[in-house]
Amino acid sequence: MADRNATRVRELFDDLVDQPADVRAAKLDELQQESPSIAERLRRLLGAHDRATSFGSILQTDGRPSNPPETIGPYRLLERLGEGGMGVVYLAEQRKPVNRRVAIKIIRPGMASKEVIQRFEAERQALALMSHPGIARILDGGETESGLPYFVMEHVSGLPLLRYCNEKKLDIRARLQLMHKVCQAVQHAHQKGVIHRDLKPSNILVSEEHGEPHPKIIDFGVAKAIAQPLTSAALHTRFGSMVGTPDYMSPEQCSSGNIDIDTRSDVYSLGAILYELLSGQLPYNFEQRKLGEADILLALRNEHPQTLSRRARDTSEAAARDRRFEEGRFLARALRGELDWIVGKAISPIRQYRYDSALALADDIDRYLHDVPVLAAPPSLAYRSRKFVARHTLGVSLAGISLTLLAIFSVLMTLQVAETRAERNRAIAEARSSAAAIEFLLHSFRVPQEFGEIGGNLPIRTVLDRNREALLEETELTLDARLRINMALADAYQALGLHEDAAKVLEEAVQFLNAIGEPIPTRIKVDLADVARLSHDTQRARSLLVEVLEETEGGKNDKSIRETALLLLAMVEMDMGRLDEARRLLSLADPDAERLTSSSSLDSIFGRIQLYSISGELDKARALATEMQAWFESRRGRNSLPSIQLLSSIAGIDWAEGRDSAANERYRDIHARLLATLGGNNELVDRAELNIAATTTDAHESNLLLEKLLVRGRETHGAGSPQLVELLATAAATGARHNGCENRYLEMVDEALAITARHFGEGHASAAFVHFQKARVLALCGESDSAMAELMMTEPVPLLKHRAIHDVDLVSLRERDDFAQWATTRKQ
Amino acid sequence: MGEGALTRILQELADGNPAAQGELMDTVYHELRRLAQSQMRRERHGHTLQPTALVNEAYLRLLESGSDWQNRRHFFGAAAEAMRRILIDHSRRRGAEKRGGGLRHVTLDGLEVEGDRMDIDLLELEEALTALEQHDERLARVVELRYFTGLGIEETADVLDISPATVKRDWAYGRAWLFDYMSAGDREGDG
Repeated sequence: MADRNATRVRELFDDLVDQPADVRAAKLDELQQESPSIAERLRRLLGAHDRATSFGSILQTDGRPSNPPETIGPYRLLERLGEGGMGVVYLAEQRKPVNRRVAIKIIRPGMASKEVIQRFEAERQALALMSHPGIARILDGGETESGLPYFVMEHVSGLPLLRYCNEKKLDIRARLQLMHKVCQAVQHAHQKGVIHRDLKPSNILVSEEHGEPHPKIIDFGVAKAIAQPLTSAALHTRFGSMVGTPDYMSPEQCSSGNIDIDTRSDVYSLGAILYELLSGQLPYNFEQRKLGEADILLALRNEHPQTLSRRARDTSEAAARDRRFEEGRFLARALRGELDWIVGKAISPIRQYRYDSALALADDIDRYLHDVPVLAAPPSLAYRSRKFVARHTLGVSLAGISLTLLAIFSVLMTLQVAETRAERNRAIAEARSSAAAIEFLLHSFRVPQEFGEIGGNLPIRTVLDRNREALLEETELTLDARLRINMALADAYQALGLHEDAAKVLEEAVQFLNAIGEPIPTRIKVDLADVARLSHDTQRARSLLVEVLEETEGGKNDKSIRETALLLLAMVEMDMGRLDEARRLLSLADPDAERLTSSSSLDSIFGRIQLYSISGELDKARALATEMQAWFESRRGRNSLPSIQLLSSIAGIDWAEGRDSAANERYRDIHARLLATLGGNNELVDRAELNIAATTTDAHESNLLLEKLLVRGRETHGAGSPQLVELLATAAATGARHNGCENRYLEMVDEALAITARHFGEGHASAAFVHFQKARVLALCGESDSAMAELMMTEPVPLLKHRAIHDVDLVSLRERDDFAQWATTRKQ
Repeated sequence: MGEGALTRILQELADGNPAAQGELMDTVYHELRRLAQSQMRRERHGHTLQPTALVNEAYLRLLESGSDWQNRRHFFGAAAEAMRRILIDHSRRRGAEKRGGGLRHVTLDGLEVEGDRMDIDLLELEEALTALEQHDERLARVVELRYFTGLGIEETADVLDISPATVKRDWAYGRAWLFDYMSAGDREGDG
């Protein structure tokens, strides 16, 4: 039976493989009736065949160089000129109707040849209208006898753009003049309605006429006909790995399903080429950074590439000597300012902010060359105007950001405690007066040499781990110095998001104290409580803090420790859904709790924003967060952690108010700032990505991100870890939103619920959050009674009522009486 | 083992001595491995093996004098299998070096393609090829010859003594089958 099916599949495959898509589809539909399993198998094999393009190019193909057909139509092949990603190019001779030399590009097999030719035919007229000295004409196109599409082009001799510039050691002006010509040629094509879609230095050939460089663009019309290499699907054709390089491709070309390409995509490519010509490097350097696909999409959408001049500064002397004209820092000086702006405008990730035509780019280059002020503005201005536009088109107030529930959990406090830590770091600085402590800390920097690691690439974590191990062996230190070192290490681990390691260091301090019979100092207890809370060990955090408060009752020296403990306890109470108790503790910690005063500590501000948010007083939360965010941003800079954290609070408030797109924009901003501050591989960055995934409308991006985060989360924390709760619940609800109701989403959210039940118990804010996400999944699955029941269990976090009213996933519940009643009842 | 040895073995095969078959395989395997290793020493930084180039080089060196088609046929049959073994060994060793991480993506630049290098997981390919062998031996031979020795349609047809049209169909189907197997992780191979 199986054998007979296999034979049948094989026969059908042979019949259908060369058929156009519609014939295939008709046959497959017919088969579907007869034998669904054969139809399914066939569908997969034919799909695999079509996708096997790049596979095919490895597995040597019919267009292989040693065995070309000698003639194609009226053309006689003379020699092989080269090979590109799409196919092989030959020099050929045409006899009729005219005698001339042409270049023929034979497209690799596997590119659905019938469709390629159809698309080519469709654009043929437009291509014929192009007539410009900077554009190699497309003369003809067709199908070889073996069924491969080919294109006949005007034969151009010349060097690829980049090579030409480097070999001739052209200076900045000469490079700009050359690109000016390229832009004009592209403009001509655009006027004729042809978009290139695959502009890159190797598609621009430069020859010399009377000593003048003369660029000519090849392959106009080819990319569109082939279509395939320009979609995200083709970027990861094989086995999910990325094969093409998106280096010169605009973000909109790389994002999935987006076929909305216009002339500004070519403007982007021109900008990227200019970037490389001037700085010697690519805007994003995906290859060097070894980014995965999800990260590439994210980077393209969110990151502004480094400015030209900054990147040029990194160009090494040797590279400059080899390939370029000036050494990095001189080059950087020359590029700073107007050229930075011009290139920056051309490669803006958002196309509205690019030059609206190749001509506009050409004109600005021309202005620069003639010392006339350019139209491109410094990025900050552009940024500001972008913000302005965004604000007004969305019709939201300046303060438009929100605090998702995700932020409610540890994001806030991680950062907040980092800030409190600054105070403690000052204390630690005192400990450095101890010669022993200095000696100890210095030791870790000498260790690398003993390990033979030279070159400064030692991960911070390794340094910390070694310190920690060394501290266990150490016997010379005073107790005070030792504890300070312990706390410093714990702080450093915390800042890296490594709560478990931080906990271990502190536990080691406790063990040491126990061993020598000393009591545990209150400040260590506060740290322990902080770590316990962030590791979701709420009970332990609470009992430690209660101890600290008892110990510091009425004491004067421990005032700041007591205040920190009160604030932390307030956070713990919020986690546990006891908002009134949290409110009381906050006002104890800071009697002026309703007003911002010069003496307000950062902790108390964060505590209050948190409290207002959770209890649904969103206007108050927003006002305070916005004011503070502006303050921190102006005093400590855009990338300071408090300013990023407050941004995250605002983003969360937007989320709660149903402004997902505003929240999303804010999270992308946060993500970029965190990357700039902390680099990748950090819990905060992961969280920002989770929030982006939860608020984006791009299903493909969202799925990719969540998949990545789930794999990483499970690897890092292990199944059943409380660290996975938000991730699982959010991924479930978001997945259901984008991909529809599926069983696995219910399983995921139930997995999250099981973990909350084990670790937190009902009434906990985390549990409320998971119930909320479960309600979304259930609503999307059409189970509105069960969804409503879940919503009822979110009572401890009034914030969720705001969200429920706006949440599109819950739209099916809004007609219900019990929903209306639940949503309008406010717990006071 | 000298290059003369191979010529001798090939001659014996051509003369109809089937005992030389096993010897040929060993000889080709060792010769190719030697070439591959010297190539890797030259290109220390990359782990680039160019199977087609290697096989061609070996072939040219070994058969400079008077190769006839019979010789070629035997040689390529053996070379394809030897190349497959070498690449897999190489890949496994790499995998083992990387702290037990079984998977290692080796770049195969069968063609000099500008800015367009392909990564392929050889261990995955090996697994898929083995499955394909069980499904249909001839399909696997076609892929092996075309992939590991870079033979064209006509040449493959000659080595396997089947028609070029059959090779072409086998190649399209075999490639789709492998691709599907590798990308979908379907280990049933039922069609």
